[in-house]
Amino acid sequence: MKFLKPFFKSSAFYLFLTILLWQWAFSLELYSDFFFPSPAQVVAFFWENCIKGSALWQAMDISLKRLLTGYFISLAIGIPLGMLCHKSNFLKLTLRKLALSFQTLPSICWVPITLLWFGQNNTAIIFVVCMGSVWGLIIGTENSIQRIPNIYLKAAYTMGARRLTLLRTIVFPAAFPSLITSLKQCWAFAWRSLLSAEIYISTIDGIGLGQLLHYGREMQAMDQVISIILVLIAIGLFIERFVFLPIEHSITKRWGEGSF
Amino acid sequence: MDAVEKTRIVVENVSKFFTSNLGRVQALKEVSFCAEEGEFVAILGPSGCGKSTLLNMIAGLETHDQGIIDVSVENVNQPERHRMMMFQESALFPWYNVIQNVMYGLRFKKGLKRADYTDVALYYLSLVSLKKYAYSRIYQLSGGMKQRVALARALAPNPQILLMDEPFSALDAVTCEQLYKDVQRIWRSQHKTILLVTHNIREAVVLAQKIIVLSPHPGRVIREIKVDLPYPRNLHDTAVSDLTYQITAILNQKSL
Repeated sequence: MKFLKPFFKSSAFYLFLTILLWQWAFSLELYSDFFFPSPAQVVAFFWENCIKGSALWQAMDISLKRLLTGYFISLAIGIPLGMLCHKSNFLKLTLRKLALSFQTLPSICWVPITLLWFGQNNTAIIFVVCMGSVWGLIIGTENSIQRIPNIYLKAAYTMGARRLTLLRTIVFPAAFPSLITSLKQCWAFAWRSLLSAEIYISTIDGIGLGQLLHYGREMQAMDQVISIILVLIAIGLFIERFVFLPIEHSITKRWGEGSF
Repeated sequence: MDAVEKTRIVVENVSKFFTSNLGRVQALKEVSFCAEEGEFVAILGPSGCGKSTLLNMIAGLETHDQGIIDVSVENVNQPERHRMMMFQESALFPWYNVIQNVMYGLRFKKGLKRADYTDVALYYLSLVSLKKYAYSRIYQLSGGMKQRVALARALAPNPQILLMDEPFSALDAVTCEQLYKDVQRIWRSQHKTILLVTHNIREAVVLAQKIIVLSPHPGRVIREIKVDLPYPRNLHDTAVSDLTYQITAILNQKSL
């Protein structure tokens, strides 16, 4: 049994234990199965919608497209505006203050506005994703440029760097470690906003994960609800592990420990 | 490599004012001195005498309110490639490795091919005995090594003037001593005009041919001292100690 030892120390083992515990709790039959489904029911749901059918894949596709569209619009707007906020005193007094106020607003509050403006469609959801994530990014970008040690700029300036070269070779790389924290936060806000919007808004042009989750409740299909939640967690972990963690690792490798 | 032209730094009756919450404060009062081509000049003074401000103005990073600052034929208004600066902290860019840092200033030099950047950078790295660290990351270097890379970076574009803003003040005594030797060697072999700002009297005596002593509030020149000791100088030479003692006495007398 020695070869099993690494398994007992891995998180896979604890996941297995959790599923076992879940099955045991289900077998006590305290609640009916549409309140509290068994692991087997959840597996069956995945079988039906992922392998036999493709409803889950389609929903994932739609949701991720909305998320990425919204996120990249936020980046395209938020980063330049954040940089301009740093440069211009006027924008610091106006746009930055506006961003600070809107940042405090929970993104779900944009839903009534977006429904009236755009109707029940993709655009409405992407709008909520942007509104939920762009304001924090403006503030974050401004802060990360603010925090660049002046000595880097002075050194580059005395060597002859100006304008675009200064921006490309000094400002961006120097701000990058703290900017990546803002990008991560922006992603988290975008993700949360997407789900709020999808649960709230029934769209005619495509059903996303949030909508599937919501319909699961309406149809009292708890296996569907739990399955979608598991998918959402998996997507969150995947992005963290395969997008942000490698970027952070590469920064640590270049800058040394404690560079965030 | 460059066309030879006389590089003379002339500072004449330069004054500088700051506006603080105490009102208008004079940082520098009618400071005058000059540095000939190839000369090693130290600007010595206690903190608050405006010596770094003076250096920044010569570097073109700050403007002066009165007087003339003249470097060769052109007026100082913008930093130019023929004068490079070294700072108190290393100011190396951590997103680049060692050799990329040394190469940084080369891109602004006209007439230098991209293909030659590596060779030039390696030459200056070997001058500061750090060739084998060319591909290390900045955080892997010690404080002394960082300042040597900073020195190589400042030298790489082959400037005529090197401006040093207390580059040794954050280093330990042993590292300093080694660097004093390196700087003397490099200055003599590379024929640079060096302007060193420092509060360390012994450091000024070991390195400079001429010491401009400033006194604070407002910063003004109280003495100009020629140091006629032969190079290479050592921190522990008796002549160095004697002169250090004399200058200490001058500064103490002034601060009373």
